Amino acid sequence: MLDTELITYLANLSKIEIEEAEKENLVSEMSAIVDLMDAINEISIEDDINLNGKGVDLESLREDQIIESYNRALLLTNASHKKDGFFVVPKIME
Amino acid sequence: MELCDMSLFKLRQMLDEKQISSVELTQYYLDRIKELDCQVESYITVCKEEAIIAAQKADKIISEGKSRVLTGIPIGIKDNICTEGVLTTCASKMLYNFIPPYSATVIEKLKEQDAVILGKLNMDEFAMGGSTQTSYYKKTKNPYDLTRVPGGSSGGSAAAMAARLAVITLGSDTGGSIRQPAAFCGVTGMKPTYGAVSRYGLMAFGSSLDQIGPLAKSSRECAEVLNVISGWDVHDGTSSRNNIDFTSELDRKIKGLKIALPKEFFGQGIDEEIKDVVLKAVKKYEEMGAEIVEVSLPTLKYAIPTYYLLSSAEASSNLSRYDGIKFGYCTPKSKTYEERIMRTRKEGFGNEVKRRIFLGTYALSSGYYDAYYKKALYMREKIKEEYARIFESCDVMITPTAPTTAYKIGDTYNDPVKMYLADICTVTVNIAGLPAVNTICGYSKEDNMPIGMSIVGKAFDDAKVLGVAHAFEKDFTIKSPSL
Repeated sequence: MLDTELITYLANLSKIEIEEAEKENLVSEMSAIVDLMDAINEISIEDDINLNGKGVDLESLREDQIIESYNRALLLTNASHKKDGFFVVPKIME
Repeated sequence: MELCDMSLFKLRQMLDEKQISSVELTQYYLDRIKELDCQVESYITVCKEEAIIAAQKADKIISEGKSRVLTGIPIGIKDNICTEGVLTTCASKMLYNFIPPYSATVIEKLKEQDAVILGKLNMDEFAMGGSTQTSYYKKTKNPYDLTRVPGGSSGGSAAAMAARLAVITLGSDTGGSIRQPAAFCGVTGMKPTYGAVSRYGLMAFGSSLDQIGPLAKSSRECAEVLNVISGWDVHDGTSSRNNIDFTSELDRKIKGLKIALPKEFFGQGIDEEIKDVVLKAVKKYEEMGAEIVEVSLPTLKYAIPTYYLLSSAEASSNLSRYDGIKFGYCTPKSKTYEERIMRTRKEGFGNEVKRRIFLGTYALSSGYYDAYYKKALYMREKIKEEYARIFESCDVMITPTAPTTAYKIGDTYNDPVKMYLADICTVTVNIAGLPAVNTICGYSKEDNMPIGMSIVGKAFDDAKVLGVAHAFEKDFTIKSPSL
């Protein structure tokens, strides 16, 4: 069951700020969505199937070679706060 | 015939024979966009100057006799595909100012051919939605009826095709995002086999499901574009080394072809008229000599949760990169590091994106992982097995592309559950990584809205799927929207 406590927990895990006033509404919206997902609870995992997928073929990985990376100055043009070639964030250590 | 109604092939011929220059053709499309896109609202960004410069270069290549299939052809690009130096927003406030420092592989491939990029097309925010209503910027309209949605998430790409605001457009498809808007807007749209086209530079949503593909006037044109944009790419570890010639089966015979008809796709929840129109198209194939085999896909009832759990889980991880620090929107009001990230994401993401992140986080979180994510992974294998079994004895499968025709703007927008259920016809193809093309097979009697069918094949049978669609398109007349 989803409640405001779980929504607050998920918002923290998701790193999305939510306001007290939206919590009830979010609980009802997310509950309806989770109810839809609950159909999957009818099934039980019976056989030993490869659950990690077979997507990436390790044989076809590229050679480990040194290649030129992106231009630092160009990458920094998209950052809102930058200084001396670095990203700037609010002070983390007190 | 108007220039905008001409096929890629006709335009290629005219460009090569110097009946028109690429600059003239590009200017013609820019003028059309200026005149008509105020109604359709399909473009977020129009690249006026860049397009003319690219067209001038293309004209030089053409005059040297070195043109290739897309040289000088004006193309529109979905706004989640990175274009170096050109604003790429993913239709999100989060990326309102993002100028990519690199181009996606598909863009590099288009540029290698000197194609002309007209601009960037509207979509659902981060490709999450089926109506293009979740875009932060604008609500794209369906050119067949401006009060209706164009579908989504590649709604801008489909609407621009229908309104003839580009010769070809590119979209992306995670759960139907090329095929469904193509059906709503009356155009052909192809989601290739997973791995056929590089995802490098496509802003990630559900990485195990996402594929870039073309929208065009016909399957033949889609095949030509796919030959240009597909292929193995060092930058995408999931891109395939299988080289597909997408045009190789365009002349294939229908006689003897085995077409699977999954009964679950013609049951409850699918509009009666859509069933009738699609079954009539199937009948056409039968007349052409195909054998129709009724099959069953019982796992379809788990398709929606499987898709939403997998895609949201992947999205919750993929979208963790948007923190307001490295690029994109950054909240002006924050004192601490934590506050900056959390407030940026609160203010930068729209409601639907947040819901998906919450759902994905929930499905992956401790205590819920086994109940949701692991079961969805299991169902993915089961769905793949069911398709594999069907394709052991059948060549292709035909289904409706969407349960309804395009609905009114505003309908179902506030009901996520209803929106999710509407994806039932398309998501299993992504879950199983298969190729599928939407082609138009009729129009609704009452309001003349397009009805699409999907032709699905086994992995890497892309050419066959396009060939089967082409056989139908040859004798089908498209009704263009009047704008």
